[in-house]
Amino acid sequence: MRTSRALGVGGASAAILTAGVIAAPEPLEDAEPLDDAVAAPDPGGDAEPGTAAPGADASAGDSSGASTVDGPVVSNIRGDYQVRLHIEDGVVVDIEFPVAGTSAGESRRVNDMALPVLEERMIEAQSGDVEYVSGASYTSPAMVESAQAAFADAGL
Amino acid sequence: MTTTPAPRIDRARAAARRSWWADGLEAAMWLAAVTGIALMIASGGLQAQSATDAWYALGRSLGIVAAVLMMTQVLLASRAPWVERGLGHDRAIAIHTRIGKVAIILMLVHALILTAASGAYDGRSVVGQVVAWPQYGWFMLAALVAVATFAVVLVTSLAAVRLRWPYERWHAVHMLVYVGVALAVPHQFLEGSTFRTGGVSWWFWAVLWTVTIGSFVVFRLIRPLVLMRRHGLRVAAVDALPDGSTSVTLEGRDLGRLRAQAGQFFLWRFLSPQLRTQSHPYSLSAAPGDRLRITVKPSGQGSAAIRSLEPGTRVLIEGPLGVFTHASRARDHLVLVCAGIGITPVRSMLEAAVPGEDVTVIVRARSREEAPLLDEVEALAAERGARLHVVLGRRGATWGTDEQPASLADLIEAPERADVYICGPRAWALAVEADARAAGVAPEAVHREEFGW
Repeated sequence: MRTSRALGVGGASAAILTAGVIAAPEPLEDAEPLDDAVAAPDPGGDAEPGTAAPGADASAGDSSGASTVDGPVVSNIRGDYQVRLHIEDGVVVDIEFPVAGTSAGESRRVNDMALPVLEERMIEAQSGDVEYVSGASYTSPAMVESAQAAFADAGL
Repeated sequence: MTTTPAPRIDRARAAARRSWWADGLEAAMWLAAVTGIALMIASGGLQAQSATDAWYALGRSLGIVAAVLMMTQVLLASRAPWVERGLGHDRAIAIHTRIGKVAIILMLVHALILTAASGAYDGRSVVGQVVAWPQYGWFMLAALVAVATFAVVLVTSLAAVRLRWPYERWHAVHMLVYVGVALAVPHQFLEGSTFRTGGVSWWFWAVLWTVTIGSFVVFRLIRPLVLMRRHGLRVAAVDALPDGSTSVTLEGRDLGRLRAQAGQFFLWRFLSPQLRTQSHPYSLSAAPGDRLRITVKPSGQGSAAIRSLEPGTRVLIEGPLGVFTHASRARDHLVLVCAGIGITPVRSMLEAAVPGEDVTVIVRARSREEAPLLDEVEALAAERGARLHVVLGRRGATWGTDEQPASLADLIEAPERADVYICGPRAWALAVEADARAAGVAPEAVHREEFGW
């Protein structure tokens, strides 16, 4: 290729790469990817993957009747997933996801996108049985499974 | 087939257009790879927070570059007219050979890095991750098989193996790459985070693969069958020549529609029991008309079996291929230089030259007896008023012979006005090319076609 044309291709390449960098999403936060603090998977956690170990512990005999219920840790090929329900007066007011996927960038990106949507849908429905989030075809079923068990366990 | 030679201005303009076309194809390859990487970055691929993240991003980039190189490979071997006319078949295959190993090595490194990195995220060993891949989906099992296929093809393409194996066996194994490519494509859409998400990225990648695989299927697989049906090409006559070579004349219906030009070649597959598994490139040794003719010198098993072809044998063809034609000329004075069986395209170009055109033909041979078609070239040169130099003798210090050292500066009057067409054994042809450049022939006016790639 002639030098002038090669330079043109080089310039175009630089422009395309720059456009890619500009279009890139904001960097993921390391410590708190979500307002509800998604923890990295807990190696050797108390819950065996795939087994239901719901720890329905009423945290303090509060008059408001506030409690938390953990769903089982559900595992698939892309990591472990778990739901934690915060319940006040028989109503789920907040949902945490203590275990979600892996530390892989792609896993964190998908969870960043999908978990707030799942939380909103579950609180709205007051049920774990919600529609999957598109583009999160591993996170969604695992979280829904964990949530359904947690809701059942909480008697909701 | 050939019409009157185009005026000089048009030749120069056509040469410039071809140069743009060839460079444009190369530029398209680079820009496709760069765009793929930019889309990966746009999907968040560069957000590295750990060493594993950085390795992962590198692995993804390598995968994209390797895939674009694979597309290039398939296109270069697809016989698509927009590749063949821009580059010429021999140059396309030379590039194909050069980047093939790079593409496969990049792909293997991509697979290794992403296996190790994915394993690191999930707490699996490399081996554990390899075993786990199929659970990600059928497309990852397919990708694993593709990796194994490419590894086999790479090993058999290494010089040590390739020299020891007969060409036909090597080629059969080489065809596995198409299986590998087909198996590697699904995971790019279903697993790779760059193109999976749909939208612009998905369409970009889908269009690239559609054009690539579509060109291959249409021009490499379907077109030869269409040509066979349309033209019904068959062997009409087989003539043994005194120098040991064989001329095969072929006839069929409506051969003008092939739009073959003098100097071009086809890939021929004679459907005889002996030859049906082999496809060989042979140049037309006569200007194409109602019939086609090739002249073959015995070299491999295939070339030797040509002599026993029966008239009536059906023929599958791919082509016409090559840019060794009057249409590629950039200048007015035509110089045709050939050695050995390289005389075939020169013979047909000379036949297609317009009487009175400024043509010089230079034939190098060991002896008159060993030079195929020399009598025909002499008759045509006299008829067309072309200057003919026959350089005979043993190999010497120049591309001429010991007895008759040759230099283009002595043989042609105005090298800067000349197009020099060179066809012969590679080392010899390179020597002629170097001499032509030294004599002042413009780079775009040197046309060297290799046979025996």
